[in-house]
Amino acid sequence: MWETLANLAAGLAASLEPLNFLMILAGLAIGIVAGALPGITMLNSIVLVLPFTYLMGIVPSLLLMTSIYIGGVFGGSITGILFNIPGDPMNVPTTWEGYQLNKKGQVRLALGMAIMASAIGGFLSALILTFASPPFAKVALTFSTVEYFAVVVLGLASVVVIGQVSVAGALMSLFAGMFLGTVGTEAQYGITRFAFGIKFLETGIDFVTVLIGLFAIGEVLDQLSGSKAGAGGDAAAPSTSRARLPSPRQLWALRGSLVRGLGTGVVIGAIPGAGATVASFVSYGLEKQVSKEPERFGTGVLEGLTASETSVNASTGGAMIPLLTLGIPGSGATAVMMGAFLLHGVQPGPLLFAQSPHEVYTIFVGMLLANLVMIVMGLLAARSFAQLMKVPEPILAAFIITFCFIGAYALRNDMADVWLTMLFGILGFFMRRYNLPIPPLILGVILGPLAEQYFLTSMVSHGNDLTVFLTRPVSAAVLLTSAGLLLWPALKGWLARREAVRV
Amino acid sequence: MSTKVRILGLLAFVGVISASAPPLFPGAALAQEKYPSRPVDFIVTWGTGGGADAMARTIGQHAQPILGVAIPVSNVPGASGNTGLGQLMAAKADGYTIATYIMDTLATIPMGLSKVTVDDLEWVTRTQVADSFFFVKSDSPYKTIQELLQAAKANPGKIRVAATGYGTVDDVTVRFFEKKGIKLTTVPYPKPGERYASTLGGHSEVLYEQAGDVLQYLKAGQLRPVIIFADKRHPAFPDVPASVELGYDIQLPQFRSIVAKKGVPADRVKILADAIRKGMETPAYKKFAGEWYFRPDSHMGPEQFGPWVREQVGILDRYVKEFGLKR
Repeated sequence: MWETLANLAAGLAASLEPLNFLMILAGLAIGIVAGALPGITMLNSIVLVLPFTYLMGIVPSLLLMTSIYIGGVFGGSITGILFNIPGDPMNVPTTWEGYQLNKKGQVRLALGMAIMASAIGGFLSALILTFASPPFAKVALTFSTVEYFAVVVLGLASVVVIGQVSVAGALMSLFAGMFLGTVGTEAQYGITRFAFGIKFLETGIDFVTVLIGLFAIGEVLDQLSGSKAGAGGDAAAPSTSRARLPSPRQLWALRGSLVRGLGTGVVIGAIPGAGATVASFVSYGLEKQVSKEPERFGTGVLEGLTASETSVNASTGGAMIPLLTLGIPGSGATAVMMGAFLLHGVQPGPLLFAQSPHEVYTIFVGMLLANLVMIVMGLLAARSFAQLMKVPEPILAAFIITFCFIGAYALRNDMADVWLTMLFGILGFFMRRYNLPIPPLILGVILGPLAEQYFLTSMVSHGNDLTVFLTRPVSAAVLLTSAGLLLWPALKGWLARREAVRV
Repeated sequence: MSTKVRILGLLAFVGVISASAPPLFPGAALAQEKYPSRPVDFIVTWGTGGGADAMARTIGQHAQPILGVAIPVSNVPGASGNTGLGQLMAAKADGYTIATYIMDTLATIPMGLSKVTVDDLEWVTRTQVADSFFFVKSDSPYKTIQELLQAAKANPGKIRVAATGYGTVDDVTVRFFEKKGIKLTTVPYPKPGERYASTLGGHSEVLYEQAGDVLQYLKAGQLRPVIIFADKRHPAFPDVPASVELGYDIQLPQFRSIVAKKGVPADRVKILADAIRKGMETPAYKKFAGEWYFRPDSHMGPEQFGPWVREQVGILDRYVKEFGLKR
């Protein structure tokens, strides 16, 4: 214990060194801006800074990357709340409540709450990372693809029940997304599906083209064509758009949502494959189920926003656990960090704590600090982005579309991705017009291939025995929860009808 | 700060992002220009954080000052490296675009999964050769390779081997044992992390991997090697029997290399190869290579590398036909 504290004190001193602290600030700024811009994901920006870390030591490199990670998973909620355009898929649930609050004129509260929830979730998860990594890692290792599959199914199930429209609509959208996810070369046997001999389809549809097409371009088209009275520009008067942090009393009232978001985020973050996106959807779904007034969700409920935003940032600490203790990156961002470790001749894994305690504890303290500094950076960024609301709508729309095309082109330096993005934009427009929910589609694209791969791997690994999903306790529990989530609305309706008959 | 300034700031950010992407219009080719006079794009045909990525970025970093121009790396993963190769083939054969090429990609040629043949490329330099092993968890009941193979014989298909995928060299090795009457099950995990987690967590009995990739687990005593697929034992693992010595004549070492499109002028290939060789001779690179247990004779210049690759394709082709792996 004393040794840990001494290590932490040394880590604090090191992370406050000018270069290191500068990296935290720079990382947060890059992360928040990249996360907020619809065409540029947090992951893009981590990959882009990798070459800049060649000349730095391992500590500033990792501080820069973890700070981008921390800022990046939060950043997308700013544009989500302000313009209904989430910058990254994990910020979609935050957008549901956040944008509604914005429309109700409570944009300051929505932004402030998102910042605070992110910071609290991230800070506490970094604390868990600091003090409880080894036991967490031990549990994570007992999970196999059977459990990964179950968690992915939970993510898919939660997006169906949290939709505001019909379950049938959500399922249609989800299956359409899962279908799009099958396009391209399949990971297990290398078979090409639904490519029709078109070269760029053989490598699959990148989920980023779907994300920015459906959310950003679709939203812009919808707003420009003027169906909604409250288009992005006049959702709230700019003078009130400065974020306001929630009071301690407000936070205390939301303690349940914070704790549930934290738990979901850390656990799901620590499981390879799933990550922040699943964490945020599951925690939102969980919040809706435990709520006494689930019907109010989607109209600007603080609980929903708080839980999802807490879990998104809590997943950062969770995802760092298997990376640092086992050398196993569970997400795209941690895979790039793994690359940075290797470039500096350090292999993360079981010996890291013993061989490089100084570096490890500096990263821990750096993450704790970054989450605190993020409150300030988040407020500044929210203010800057809110200024954009003053920009006339057509000009803003032109900029958003430009960003989307740059982001799409940068994926593979291929114009085909830009055309795809446009197509998805048109699809998004019509889905809005016909009231088909969009989030299930994007989640289907992201999680469909994962579900397929983990299912097939489990089958190979267990001699094609389907019962393995129910004989392994954790998988059984998670799958039953998913089934419960799916059946609960129907069951509730049935119970209500029976009640009505009795009366 | 005015709104205008803020928007300008955002624009500057876009500028930075787009400037760091590979140039859209590589200048018109000049036959007599000094080479290299502008950055050499390095396509990594695998994702960030993997072995090919580490090789490219480390060599790129050390060869940069020798070549005198920047070597920006971009990752284009997919289809066992063939997606990135597609980009290489789309570029000009002027020596300003190079790519990584590893054994796993070579294996896709005899499988009929690659459109890029051996003759489509300039084989600039072989940078790394690393032997593959079977590893088991340290508390595994199988103390030796013989015990492991005995158990596999007694329970066909019950021993699971975590591998990169079907039709890969990992899979070919497993099929080789099947031909000898020892049935193991290949479980494909394309992501290295999932492959290691499945073995450390006891969800796969065996891991097929190179030693450098799992060094941490070896040092921490979490994994132990039971066989090396080579003709002789490795000096760092004197107690681990070699496959050939046990009568299993299979050795498909992982190699990683740097290639260019066919048709790059010979003098430019030589300039590239020389810079890479000098980069590999730096102490920092040598330390990296030692830690990853690369064979000391890994380096192979353009003259020997091409013929060596053709020989490897021949060996793989034989196995693929023998095991009926071709699609």
